[in-house]
Amino acid sequence: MSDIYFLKNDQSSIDFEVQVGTIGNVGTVAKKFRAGNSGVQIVGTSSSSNGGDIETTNLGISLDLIGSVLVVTTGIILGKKDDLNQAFENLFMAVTLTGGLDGKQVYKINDTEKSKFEDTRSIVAAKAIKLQGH
Amino acid sequence: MKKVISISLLIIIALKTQAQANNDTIPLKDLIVPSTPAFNLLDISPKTVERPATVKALALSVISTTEQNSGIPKNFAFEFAPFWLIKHPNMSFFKYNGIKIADTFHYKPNIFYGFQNTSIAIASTAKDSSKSFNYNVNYISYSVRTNILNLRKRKVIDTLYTLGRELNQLIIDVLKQDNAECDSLLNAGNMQAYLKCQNDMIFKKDTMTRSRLQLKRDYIDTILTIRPVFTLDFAFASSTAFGNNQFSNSHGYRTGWWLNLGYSQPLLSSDSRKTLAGLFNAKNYINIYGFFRMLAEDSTVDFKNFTRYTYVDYGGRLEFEFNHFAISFESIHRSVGNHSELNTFRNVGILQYRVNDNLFLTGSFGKNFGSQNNLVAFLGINFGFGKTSLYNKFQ
Repeated sequence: MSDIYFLKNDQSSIDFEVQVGTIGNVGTVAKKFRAGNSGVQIVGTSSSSNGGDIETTNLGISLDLIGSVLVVTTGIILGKKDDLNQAFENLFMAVTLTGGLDGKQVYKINDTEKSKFEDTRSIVAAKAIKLQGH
Repeated sequence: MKKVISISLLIIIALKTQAQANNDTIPLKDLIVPSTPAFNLLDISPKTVERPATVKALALSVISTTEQNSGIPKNFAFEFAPFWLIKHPNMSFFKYNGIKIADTFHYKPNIFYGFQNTSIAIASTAKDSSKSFNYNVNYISYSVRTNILNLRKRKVIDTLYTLGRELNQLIIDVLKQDNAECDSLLNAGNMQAYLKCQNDMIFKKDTMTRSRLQLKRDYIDTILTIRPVFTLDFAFASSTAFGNNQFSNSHGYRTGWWLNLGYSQPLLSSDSRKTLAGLFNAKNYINIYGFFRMLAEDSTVDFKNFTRYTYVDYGGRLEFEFNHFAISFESIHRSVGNHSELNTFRNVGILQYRVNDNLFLTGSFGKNFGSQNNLVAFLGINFGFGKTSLYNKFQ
């Protein structure tokens, strides 16, 4: 069910960035799940002084990344007066990858990749992108 | 018991006095920008108002409304905020709450942030012919309402910025934690279970009832209730009457403009004014309100000959609010277009006591509109005015 980003079989540098648009308090963390469940590494976090964006960050060398999965998770907390349904519908989240076979690719979340929680007035969204050689 | 008897006596006196009161007045609340001017203009309170949150939902509402009716749609009401119909990639908690971020260490208030909540409303009410009016008429009105200025105290802005950063960082810290349970759900391809697992992590209870993050957010919500110092609201509404529901037989009906300004300053010692607790716990205020309202109506009895009436009301109120008690002076001038002999004004002193959140005792004394029987001597009660003072209706 992951999206796929095709990598070159070389030493190309792979970068990523995340953009999140929401009215709530938000934090974003990007993790790299290494091939064969051989560990998880944090590769980027958003800045607390703004929204949930992660600025352009180096993910690694193309050959080393083949088989890994980039997982970006965003948590959002809304206030009592905020409209949870509208915030859920209007949530914008996109992961951009560069340096691969297809150059710049933008992956936006779809409806199955976000969930809202009435009791905690919160939203959690995640994007998983498989990094695959060709 | 003594208090109950006193209040009961006051209510009886108030009801008796209210029955004798002169009704030719404009309650100040009627000069406040209405929440949905399109409905207000047609004197309707629709039972069902559609409030589409996306472009898709708006399109469906429009299609549904037009399909239900042949010809011009009748008896519908919907309201939407155009800005929020689409996604905004650069939206943030700070931007939403009127804080403009320059970089990590620099920010400033954005007093125009209320524009993002500008709302548009469209409504229709159809009236069948009667003995006094031999026409079926469908009235359609449309309105726009916005907050032009909203000025908060610098202390409030600084605190919102600091708390917002702290809460964002707390969310980041939770998501950074190793969590094999959540990760395994993701590896199994169960995205929805993974999202729930992460949410449970964020809201893991540190105290008996609330998580640390929820408590922080509650604190932010509390700060957001502190009154702004200055607000300026504007609304415009207009309506068209369609005789026998035909496009070719239309005529302008009512048009209205509203402009309100509100200024509120807590009456505090200079030390308390500097603290957030002082601002939040303030119970005494000096409030200044300014009003402008223009209403024009093309009146008719046969849908052939129309007579235009234009009313312009403007004025203000100075109010001292002491917790449950408020004393104020209100001056409102009315100008009637093409009938300057009908121009008039009202100068009234008002005492108001809040018995509880839904019961107010009001006393007024002064000169009412008109030149005859214009003495205002009034003791009344108002039910269901809400929990807050008039100033909060501006926000």
